[in-house]
Amino acid sequence: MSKLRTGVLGVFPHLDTATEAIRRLRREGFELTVYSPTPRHEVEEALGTKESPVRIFTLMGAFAGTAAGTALAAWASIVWPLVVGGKEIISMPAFSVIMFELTILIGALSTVAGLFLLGRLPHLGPPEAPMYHPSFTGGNFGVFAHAPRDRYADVQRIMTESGSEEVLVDHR
Amino acid sequence: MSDGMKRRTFLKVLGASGAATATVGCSTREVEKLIPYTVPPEDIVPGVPTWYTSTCRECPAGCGIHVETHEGRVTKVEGNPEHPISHGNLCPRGQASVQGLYHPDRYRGPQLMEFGVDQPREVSWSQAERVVAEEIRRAPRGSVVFLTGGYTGTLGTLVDQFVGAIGARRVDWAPLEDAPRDLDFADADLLVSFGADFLETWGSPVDYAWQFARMHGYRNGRRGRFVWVGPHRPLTGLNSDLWIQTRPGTEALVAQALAGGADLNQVAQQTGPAEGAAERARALQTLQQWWGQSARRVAMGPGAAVQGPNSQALRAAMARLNGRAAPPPADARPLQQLVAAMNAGQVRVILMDASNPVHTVPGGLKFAEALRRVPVRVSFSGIPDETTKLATHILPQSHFLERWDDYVPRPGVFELVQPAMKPVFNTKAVGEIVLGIAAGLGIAPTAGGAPMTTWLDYLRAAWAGRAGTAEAWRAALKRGGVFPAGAPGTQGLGFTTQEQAAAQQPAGAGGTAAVAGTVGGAAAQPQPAQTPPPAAAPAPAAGSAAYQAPAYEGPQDGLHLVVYPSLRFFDGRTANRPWLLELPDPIAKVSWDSFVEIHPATAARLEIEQGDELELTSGPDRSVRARAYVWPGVMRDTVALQMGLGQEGGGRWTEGLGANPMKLLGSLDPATGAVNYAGMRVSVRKTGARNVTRAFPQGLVETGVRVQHDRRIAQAVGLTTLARLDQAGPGIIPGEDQHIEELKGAGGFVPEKVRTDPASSYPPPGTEYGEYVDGDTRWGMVIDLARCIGCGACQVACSAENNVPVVGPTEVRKGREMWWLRIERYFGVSRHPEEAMRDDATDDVRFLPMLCQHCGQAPCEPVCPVYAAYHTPDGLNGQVYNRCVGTRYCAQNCPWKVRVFNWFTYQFAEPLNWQLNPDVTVREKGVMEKCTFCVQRIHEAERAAASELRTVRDGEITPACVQTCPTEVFVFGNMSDRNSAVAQAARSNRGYRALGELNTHPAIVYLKKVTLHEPLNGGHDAAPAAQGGGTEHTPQGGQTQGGH
Amino acid sequence: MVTETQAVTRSAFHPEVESYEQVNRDAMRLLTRPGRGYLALLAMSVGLVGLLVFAELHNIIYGLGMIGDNWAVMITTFVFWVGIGHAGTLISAILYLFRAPWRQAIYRFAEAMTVFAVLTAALFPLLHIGRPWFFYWLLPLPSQRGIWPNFRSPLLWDVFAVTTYLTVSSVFFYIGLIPDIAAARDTTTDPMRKKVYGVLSLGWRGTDREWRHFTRAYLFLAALATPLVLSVHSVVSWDFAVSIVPGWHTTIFAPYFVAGAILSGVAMVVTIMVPVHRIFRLGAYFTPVHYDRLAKLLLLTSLIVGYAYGMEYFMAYYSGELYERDVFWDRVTGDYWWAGWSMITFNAIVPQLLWIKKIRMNLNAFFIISVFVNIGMWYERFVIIVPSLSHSYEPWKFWNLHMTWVDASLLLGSFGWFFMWFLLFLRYLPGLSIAEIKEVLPPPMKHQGPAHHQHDEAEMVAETLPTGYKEWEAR
Repeated sequence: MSKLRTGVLGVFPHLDTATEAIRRLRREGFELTVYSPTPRHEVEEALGTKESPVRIFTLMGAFAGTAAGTALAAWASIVWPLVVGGKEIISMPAFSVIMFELTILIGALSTVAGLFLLGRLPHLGPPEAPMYHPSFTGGNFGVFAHAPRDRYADVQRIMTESGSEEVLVDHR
Repeated sequence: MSDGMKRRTFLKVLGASGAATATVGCSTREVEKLIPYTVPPEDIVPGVPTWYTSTCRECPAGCGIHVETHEGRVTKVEGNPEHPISHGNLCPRGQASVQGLYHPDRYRGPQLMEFGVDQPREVSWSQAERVVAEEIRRAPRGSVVFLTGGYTGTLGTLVDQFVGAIGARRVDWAPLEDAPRDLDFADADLLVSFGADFLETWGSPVDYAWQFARMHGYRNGRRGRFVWVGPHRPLTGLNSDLWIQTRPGTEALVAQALAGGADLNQVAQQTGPAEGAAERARALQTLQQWWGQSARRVAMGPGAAVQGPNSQALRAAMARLNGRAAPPPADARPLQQLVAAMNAGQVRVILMDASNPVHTVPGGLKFAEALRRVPVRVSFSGIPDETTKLATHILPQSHFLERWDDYVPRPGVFELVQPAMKPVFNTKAVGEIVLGIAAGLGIAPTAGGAPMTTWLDYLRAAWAGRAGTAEAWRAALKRGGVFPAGAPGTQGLGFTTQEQAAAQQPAGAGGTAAVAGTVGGAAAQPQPAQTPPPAAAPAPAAGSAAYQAPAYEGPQDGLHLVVYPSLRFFDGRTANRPWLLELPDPIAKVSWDSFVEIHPATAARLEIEQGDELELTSGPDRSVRARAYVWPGVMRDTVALQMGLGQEGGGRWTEGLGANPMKLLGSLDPATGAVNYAGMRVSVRKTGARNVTRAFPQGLVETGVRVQHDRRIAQAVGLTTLARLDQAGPGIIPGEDQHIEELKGAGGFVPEKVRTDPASSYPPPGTEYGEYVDGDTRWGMVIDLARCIGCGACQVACSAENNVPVVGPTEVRKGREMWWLRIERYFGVSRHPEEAMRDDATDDVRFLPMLCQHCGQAPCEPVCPVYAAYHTPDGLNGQVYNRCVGTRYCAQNCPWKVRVFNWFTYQFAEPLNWQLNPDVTVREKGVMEKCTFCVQRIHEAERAAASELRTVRDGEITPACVQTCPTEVFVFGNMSDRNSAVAQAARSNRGYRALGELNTHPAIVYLKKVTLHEPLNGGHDAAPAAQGGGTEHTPQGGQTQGGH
Repeated sequence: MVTETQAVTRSAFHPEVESYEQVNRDAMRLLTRPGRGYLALLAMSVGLVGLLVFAELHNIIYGLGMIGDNWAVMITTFVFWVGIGHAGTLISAILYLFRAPWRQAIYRFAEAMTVFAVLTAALFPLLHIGRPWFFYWLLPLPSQRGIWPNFRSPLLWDVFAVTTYLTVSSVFFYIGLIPDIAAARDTTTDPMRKKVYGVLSLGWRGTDREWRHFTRAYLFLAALATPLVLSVHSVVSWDFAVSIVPGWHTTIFAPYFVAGAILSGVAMVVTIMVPVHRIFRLGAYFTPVHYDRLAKLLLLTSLIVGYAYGMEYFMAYYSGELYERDVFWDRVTGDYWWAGWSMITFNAIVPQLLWIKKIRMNLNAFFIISVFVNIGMWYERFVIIVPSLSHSYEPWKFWNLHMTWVDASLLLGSFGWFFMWFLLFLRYLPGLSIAEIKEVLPPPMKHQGPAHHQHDEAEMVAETLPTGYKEWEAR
């Protein structure tokens, strides 16, 4: 990620003020990291987020699961072919259950893997935006503008104008 | 031995096996030195059984047996195929004899009770014998009594010599051993049994069952008839086609009516209570009709169930029927006199080798009380019982599987008993003991003129006449004795037409009389009639053959009591065998308990329900308690109680179990001196103890059900219908030939066999549709219900072969018996339990051996998550114990419920575990098990065949049940070989598969039971209603109408 | 920090919840110092678990013999608990897909219930086998002996279905928890908890990137969990349906079992929800709308189950199959008539009371009904299993169940096990979904903006409660 490690964090008690700030800062060309206690469409719209590619992981995982299920059941039956109850060695109707369950299982697990990879979870190493405020999981929204030091002033201005209650500056 | 089998013991045993081996190699040296395993003795190959020929001594029948031993341990007993009595088969008692051998409660050695000390003192044999000899020497002349059982062989001679030498008296006590064992009725058309339970205990059960099957089983269109006369229906009675109900003491009337016409209605009136007289009359008519129609007919008996008032008259009448007299009954008057003598203090020493007299002598004779008056009471019993409890000196005798002996069951048949292993405990054969005591007294009994010191020498000397030379002796040992080849005893009762009968009036039946002479012991000498007549009942003049109004002992307002010997316990001598205790009684299906048979109507009148505890009282101090078993197989005014249980001090299993009916019996039959098993009346009282069948079941639990709930498990077909079908041509193998075709038509799933390249690993040849194709083998079985008498020998044999544990009463009550094979007993095919209470319910009783069906498409296999249940290429239903985790799904999914689960790790009390078959795994807790068609035997045969570079011959493989079945119900073999015996047998019009409609392709084909008349509630697909005719003259039909 | 200058907009759903912060406060309130009652309950549950352990040790040492015959209590209880689980996934996943706005407040409890119910159910396949120490033979573990399990066995399907269900629902549960654990981390003052929550929250900060992937991942997990929840009980039902046992061998079983599962699950949700509502005074979150919807769900599934009962009997009669007829006749007239009738009464008849709004809206009544349904559903499984087995093809082997103290201990123990986990959950993890409740709350606005969705909610409440919210609470 090429985002700057420095920047300014604005704490917003209101959604509309936060989105306001987001729009203006983006117009100014800043890269942003937005904190919100709950996912809001307003924020996504303001940021213009694109569809998450997690679904690819889900799809692939599901397919892998089906394949694994088929392979496991069939192969195990072939390497140890025992006749039971006059059933075929490869009894597809029975095996379909195994296939289905593994589809779901591996599909779900790879979805989680997707979430972790894309969402950078768990949060090891330095966070993409160094500044954080506990109230972001409470009631407040946060906007962190990745900015070089020389532009801090503009950012602070935009934030306060659009209604930030508290603007914190990264002094590293 | 209780502290586990020590290595030394093992070596001893092994040494013994060396000895035994030597004997089969037929030198008679006792090899006494131990043989280390590193140098295996000749022909002891570890894992390969050694077989010995011997004779079963569990009952008077004396069946020839083969004894299987592994590394010097007896593991199983099987019939000797060339033997004229066993025909290679064996009864449940015989199969269970090994448990008598390894019974954990057996005496470890001689014991003496000192005065005032209640703990017996273990002593050496020489000491014990010396002490007894000393007592005898001190005893005044004539005050020594030898109480013996039914000796027929050399032992009898020895004892007589001994007794003679010391001026003692020999008294026989063998009340149930008086029946002829040489009857020949295999080709009879009509058999009329007067209370003779010849399928259970009377005479020679195994031989008679075998003959009965030939006579009564269905073969090419014909089938003999069998009529049962008696107050209740034991197993033998249930196998009859017609039941002539007779109140005890009135059977003579029936016999007389048959011999010379009497007014049947009048007879019917006299032979029982008013209700049901009409049915009885109708039944009598049928009997008379049949008697007239039949060319070859036999009247058998009388048996214990009819041994009451008028037994003389009955015998006389039967003598007229048969044209020859039945042997006189065993005379118990000598014993009565002995009791008197003991009470009078005239007996100082008594030596007892009879079967537990304190238990088996009628309570009226007060034997125990008298015995207590004898100072020196020596018992030769090998196992604790009531008698040894009273004994002062216990000199335990060896089990017949560990001793030398001989036996003469019937004229012309001389059998040898040889040890198959060294005595498990420190015991001796009675012969040795007697010789030992004799030595102590300085007497040397002589045989063949020469004095003998060892029992074996004495025996051989006695056999000098038959098998003098070493070769002859060896041959006799190999064969099991000296007897004419094959063929049931031809000495016996032939057949007579009425004319002949009239011609030759009571001429003593040669052989029979002879046998009776030996068997009855003292009875051989006609007793003076002036024996004091018992206080009760004004008795008719002794020996009179005239019928008189029967007089009964006991409370006159009471119910008649019938006491009869048990198929499982005989007179109680085999009662302590766990297998036999767990084996459900063949008629009541009650195990681990006694039961009082009582008629539903009577039960209703007395407000008695199944399982209520009853107290039967016949006199002031004579009463027993047992649970009620309510069923219509006993007359309205009669209760029946089985002998055998109710032992005190009978060892860990029988202790306090059930009731001993002998206590109830009173005085002897004044005419013949026989024990009156049916001459007593008892008052019946409810004690208030009831059955609990729910959460923690207690009381009497009848395993299984009585009606089939309309299931078609056990089917039957009427003789006429069957004859018609047979004319149309031979049958087809059900389910395989036609059934499948139908399915194809219906588009049902059909296993197609597709051949593929065997080289390629997948698919394995022929598994595309779930069946192995390589299979030129499909093990299968045919079970002929027309031959099955329901005795349960197969059950015990199966347990013996496959190490099936015994679970005990508590678990049995929960329905957790471990039998791999069970005999189901159904009263017809009716639906509602009440229907089994109708009087005619017992007329169509079906016995069905149920075991794993080894289905081609088994429901149990695919549901096992770990492949513990799978299908073998030769069509078996494999069960891998080691793989089983015990989900029990297979058992749920088995329609026949033949899979049993090890709820616990069941114990085989030391040394019972010596009996375990090393070829079969012993299962632990949590494992499912079931019938394997004795796969170990199959593989054994296959290996043998392979080593001889040939394929397995048809009939070479006999699973334990097939091997032992006295009536040869089972045929086992390769179903896919169309010429095999089993396939031939299966191709029958009687063939069907139990629950075949489930289309699981069972490997077992049942052949329908054949009833004389169309089965009442339909043998189902048996006959169109039109064929069900003839009810107006048939007892079944009649009683149906009567029943409603 | 809502300043008094602005008009505070309120959710029609949760009118008493003023702000985002209050959600955090209330959620954290659940996690603070437990009362004496809580500890007593926990102790009792643990005690019952002890009983379970004791009984199972007994089984392992002496063999299974002490339990009642065959498949009775243990399998019944297994199916019962698997069924319980279903409502949780239904609420958390299916309602999520349907965007049902009344889901947010209750789904966390429901889902926790699912996870723990499945955890309980998973015990029984292990406990009921004869040699539990070999349970791993049921797993497809590669071994040099090349021995594999039999994939045709319904029991193996169970292994896969239950483990999958357990895994997926736990994952789903945990993923949903992450933002709330983060909230707890930021709110709690206890340093120890702060550390633990810090680890558990995986350093969640609620950035736009995290939320962006989180929402999608959550959606797809829900999409996967939905067919799963339908399949699991179908598979369990096939344990019976693919067998040959009369009374089991039925095609109706899968839908019938799923409906039954949801019925029992919803009942259990209510049985748990009402006490929690009362104890933690969560009236602000558990509103009439929730109870109303749950009641209707209960009613619907109970109707389906009732239909299934009827259809089973009809088919038994109509097929004319002797064995089938006997079994079904036996269920209502035979040795187990009491079980048969309590099943029909509690599952098909009692819930019909919920047609009446007064009863629906009366917590006590609803609670009692839900308890009845729970009992009834246990009996349903009992009735399916025991009479069918004790009355199958072979009359000779008809048997009676002997219930023993071991059975009872295992049954009670399973409840102890379940509630132990549930109580611990209440104490240590946010029982209210902090982040998601905020979704249905109007966001804090400086300048009032149109919030259309509130109108629908208003309507929803209105048509549920003509009398209005306050009156309901007052009752």
